[in-house]
Formats: sequence, structure tokens, C-alpha cells
Amino acid sequence: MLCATSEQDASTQLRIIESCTKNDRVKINSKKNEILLINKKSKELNLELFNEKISEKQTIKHLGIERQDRNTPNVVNRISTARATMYSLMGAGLHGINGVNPLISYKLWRTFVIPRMLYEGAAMKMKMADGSTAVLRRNRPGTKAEMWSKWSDIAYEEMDNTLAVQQYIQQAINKDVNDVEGILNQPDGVDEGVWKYEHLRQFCMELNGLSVKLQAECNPETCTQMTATEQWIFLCAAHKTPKECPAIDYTRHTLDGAACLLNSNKYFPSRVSIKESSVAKLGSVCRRVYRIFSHAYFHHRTLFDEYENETNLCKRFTIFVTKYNLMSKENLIVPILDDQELIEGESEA
Amino acid sequence: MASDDAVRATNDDAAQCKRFAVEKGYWQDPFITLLTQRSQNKHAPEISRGYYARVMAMRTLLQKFIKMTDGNCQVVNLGAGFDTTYWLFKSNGIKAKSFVEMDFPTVTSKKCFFIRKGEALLNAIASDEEDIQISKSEIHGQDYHLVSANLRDIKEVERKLHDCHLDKSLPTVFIAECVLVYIDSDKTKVLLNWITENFTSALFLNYEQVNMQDKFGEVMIENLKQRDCSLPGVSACASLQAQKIRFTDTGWEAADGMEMTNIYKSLPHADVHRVEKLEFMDERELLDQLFSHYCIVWAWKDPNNIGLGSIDLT
Ligand SMILES: C[S@@+](CC[C@H](N)C(=O)[O-])C[C@H]1O[C@@H](n2cnc3c(N)ncnc32)[C@H](O)[C@@H]1O
Ligand SMILES: [Zn+2]
Ligand SMILES: [Zn+2]
Repeated sequence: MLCATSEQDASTQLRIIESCTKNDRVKINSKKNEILLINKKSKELNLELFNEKISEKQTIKHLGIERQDRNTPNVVNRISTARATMYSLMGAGLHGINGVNPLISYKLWRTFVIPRMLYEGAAMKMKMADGSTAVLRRNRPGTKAEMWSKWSDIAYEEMDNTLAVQQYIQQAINKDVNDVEGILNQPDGVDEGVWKYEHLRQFCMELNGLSVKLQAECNPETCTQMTATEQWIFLCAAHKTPKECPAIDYTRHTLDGAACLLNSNKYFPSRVSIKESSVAKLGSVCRRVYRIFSHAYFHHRTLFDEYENETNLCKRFTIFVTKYNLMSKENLIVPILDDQELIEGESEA
Repeated sequence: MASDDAVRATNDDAAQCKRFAVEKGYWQDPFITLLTQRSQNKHAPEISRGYYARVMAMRTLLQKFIKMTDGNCQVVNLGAGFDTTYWLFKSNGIKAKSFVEMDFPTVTSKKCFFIRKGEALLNAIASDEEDIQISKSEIHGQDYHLVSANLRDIKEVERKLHDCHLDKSLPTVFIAECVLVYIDSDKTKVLLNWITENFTSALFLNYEQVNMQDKFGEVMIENLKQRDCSLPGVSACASLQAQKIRFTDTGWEAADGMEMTNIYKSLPHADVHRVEKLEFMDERELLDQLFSHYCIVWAWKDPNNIGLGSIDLT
């Protein structure tokens, strides 16, 4: 979306777009652009993009929100979007009596309904990549909180879409989060690279949960740097020059960076097979995100213990990286496994 | 026993002299200014030319080693001080698997401080794979490691090199520039021995004093004594022969070396010519004296015949 205060301003911005898109070799469909004059008497404008005149409209839909020439929000329209979102989630248990735990209801409301009401959140349509399985995977009305997303299990062979491995892993976690070995048990026919990749994706997603919890007590004033044991500071790699980010910033930047890498077309163009050269990247992501565990363990022990009790995440991660040789033993400084304490004293990563 | 503080101060001296020579145009090094403050001191042209010869020759040898191993090698700089070779090489695309610098903690902590402040220095160490890890006096990156240790304490040296995850089967070059002379000969022996016992293929490049038993040597030792800096390792600096024997006595296959007088003659003539025009020098006598009292000795251990014995300055 471009905003301009004059015709000339708009025209300049359009020229910038033209030159940028040429540089980046992206194509823009000139025909799909429209102009909305706000709070001004309509007048004939002459604006072009790639030599196509842009047409003028009274209302424009951007990211699903309708904007009008008076620039007043279309309240009725938005409330009805919110209501529709609400209804669509009811099927998944978002309702009062017999619905999911009110706390979860509230979270769903906050994550899905509010954003769609305010700015549509076009990316958040409640649809899965593969329409057919979405039906299967949905929670039935009245599902209790503890039953939330405990769908009837399907065997790995029955999942034939690209997200099969991810679903399989999530299913195992939902079934019993304490069964770490079971969750990490690689089914026949799954490529080892894909298996490692999908687990790491899952870890990063779940680590976001830990990072949200950490925010409550890990702040830039108290944890000015990313440390585990006192001695070492880790520089955040998310910047042009490595930076001494506070622990909580390191956490966020590193998780964002990991997500970016794992979603990158360059290194991981497919989720069905993983390039040999990219497998090496997984170890580096592991070493980075592990620091979130170690910081939490050494600096926010109560919080760490609470989270670990609920999720077993650090334990699962430790077994995972050991099983697949993604990290060396001496870097695993959080004593989470019974046979691990021995190395605690001498390690320093 | 040398006062360790006085020994550490020799590094500031070396860094200042290098910066001075670089600013005069003797050679290029955009990184030395990031590690030293400008000082008021002026240095005689002889000093700058001495540093020029030493820096050129040591770089040539090191570069030959890295080329020969195709970068599948490790570099360990003992008593590295504020050496900038890692950054210079890296900015020219010359890379080793690991580059380790070791010195007293007082020296490494200063270097650490400057690296943290110097974006260009940090950027070179940064890598996609590995976060930079920093303590008060140490740094670990993907291919760069700055560690503190007392070279007289072999256990500490061993432990710190272990932290750098060195691969003892990879060809490894050890560098000492004006360092061993400050260390008791027996302790140096232990160190040299430890290297040959632990590393399969190794090269040692040693730059330091030679022919120290004459009048010039006496004066130099006396001068340093007055600065509270004794030279407990000077016995190995009696002659080129003595320099070589200390290696062949400690498990090295063979050693070779040259006095700086001859090394200077072997440097690329065009560049030497350029450098000689930078500053006026009324007589060559002092320079000749200096050159005849310093040498580079290289020693190797090469059971797999990768060619370490063929590295020289010609
Ligand atoms: C004359 S400076 C040379 C520095 C550097 N190699 C160069 O050529 O610029 C000597 C260096 O050796 C270091 N050194 C001397 N004895 C040492 C020891 N026992 N352990 C560690 N470092 C030592 C000093 O701290 C100092 O940095
Ligand atoms: Zn914290
Ligand atoms: Zn950051």
C-alpha cells in the first residue's frame, strides 16, 4: 500500500516501485492496482505504473479490509467478520458450556478473532494447507480442554501430504508429552533428514512458548546479555555485525532467525527431502536455540522447572540432539538426563 | 625470572612500532589501527624496516603453508599479542580451518576489548554457523579463537587448545614471534616437545634474536634488564645452530633458518625498492647490525610427506 499526500508524491513513489521491482526482478500486475482519494473531492488523476493507468475507486479492499473514501472504518462490516470468525471456531470448541477451557477460549479469541476484526489477518483463514485433512483434524464441538487437538490417531502411512511428518510428530506429542522416546521414534519410511528437520521446526515452535514465559521475568535490565554460565556472553547473529543483545532479545532474534532459515527456499526448498548440504545447518540452529534452555535454566530456574514439568521440552531436545549427533556432549550444559551431570563441571559453552 | 608485566609491555611496543610503520606506508594493514592507539613516539627508519622484513617474511612462510594444505590446516600463534594476520588473511580470502591466538590474560583481555569495539574485527569472525562467544579475556568463533594461557604451563596450554576444538591430525603451524626468548629454555623445551608428541604434522615458525653472544647482544640484554625484562630463553639465541638444535632436540624432524640479513635480500626486489625510498637513512650500519641479530627458524614434522620440508623463503 502506498500513501501519498499529492499526485506528484504518488507518482514519485510509483517510479521507485518500478525501479525496485526491476532490480529484484519481481513482476507486479499493474491492472490490480487502484487509487482511493481520501477526504478530497474526486478529480481526474493521471498515475501510471509500467505505462498502465491506475483506476480510481470509491472503496478499496486491502488485506481484506474495506477502506472508503471518507476513511471511516466500516464498523458493521468488521463486526460481521469477527462474528463469522467466532462461529467458525465454535466448531472447534470455542463456546461457553461444554466448550474448551475459558482460558483457551480467551487465547483463541485474542489470536484469531481480534486481529481479523482489526486488520482482517488475511493469512489467518482457518484452513489447512490440504483441505481434505483439515476436516479430519478438526476438534469436534464440545471437546474438553484436555482433549483439545487429541484427534483420533492416524498411522504415518495414511498421511500422504507434505505435512505428514509434522502432523505425525504433533500427534505423538499430543498423545503423551512425557513419552519422549516415543515422540522421537522415527517411523519406517521417513527420511532421516526430513525427520530431523521437522523435529527441529517443532522445537522452535514450542520454544516460542518458553520465550513468551521468559518475557515475564527476563528483561533487558536484568539480563543485559545472553549468558548461561557467568563466563561466556553469546553475540546475537541476527544483525549485520554480531551484537551483544540482552538475553530476551537474543531469544527472540534467534528464534526468528531459525524460523527464517528453516522456511528458506534456498536451504530447505522441500519438506519431502532435505539437501545434504543443508543438514549441516540443523546443527547450527540446535546450538543456537539450546542457549535459550541454558539461559532459562541458569538464570530463571523456577520458570524453567515449571515449563519443563509441563512440556519435557529440554529433555526431548537433549535426547534428540544426542541421538542425531547434532550437538557435542560438552555443549549440553543443562543437567536434564540422569547420566549427564558428570560433564556439567567442565563444560563452558 | 622476567617480570611478567614488563614482558607483556613488549607487546604494546611491537604493536606501536607496527602501526607507526603501516602509517608510514611500509605495508598495508587496516586492522592494526583498531587494536592500538596512536602514540607520540617516532621510530627510527631502521626499526620500521626491520618490522617490514619480519612481517613480510613471516607472512610469506605462513601463506605457503596454508596454500600447501589447501586451507585444511590450523594456525596457532603463541604469544600472539595484537597480531592482525587472521584479519589480513581473511580479508584476502586466505583461510585456515582454525586460527588460534594465545597470550597472557592481561594481553588477551585488551585484545578482546578492542575486538568487541571494532566492527570490522567482529565481522570477520562472524559466521552463519556459529555464534561468537566472548568472555573477559577470550573469544571463540567458527574459525577464530583467542585464548589466555601462560606458555610456561603446559597443562593450561593443553586445556585451552582443547577448548578451541583443534584436530590434532590436521597439519598445524605454530608461530612464535619474539616470544620464546622471554621463557625459560626448559619450559620452552617442554612446549616444543608437547607439540611433536601431540600433533601428527606440524610446522614451527620462530622469529627471534640470534648471535646474542657478541657486544650488540650484551647491550640489548642490558637494555631490557633495565626495563625489568630479562631474557631467560636467550641461551637458545646464541647462534643459528643453537636455534635449530632446540627443535631437533624436541622431536622435530628437521629445522632450517636464515638470519634476517639474508632474508631481507630474498624479499621481492620491487617492493624492497619502494620501501627503501620511504624514509631517508644516512648509514646502513645500524640496520645491518639489527638484521644480523634476528633470524627466522622453521622446523617441521611431516610423517605423511605433505611437503612441509620444502617450505622456505626462496
Ligand atoms: C614482543 S611481544 C610479540 C607479540 C607478537 N607475537 C608480535 O610479534 O607482535 C611478546 C608477546 O609474548 C607474550 N608472552 C611472553 N611470555 C609469555 C608466556 N609465558 N605466556 C604467554 N604469553 C607470553 C607477551 O605477553 C607478548 O604479548
Ligand atoms: Zn534472563
Ligand atoms: Zn539480536
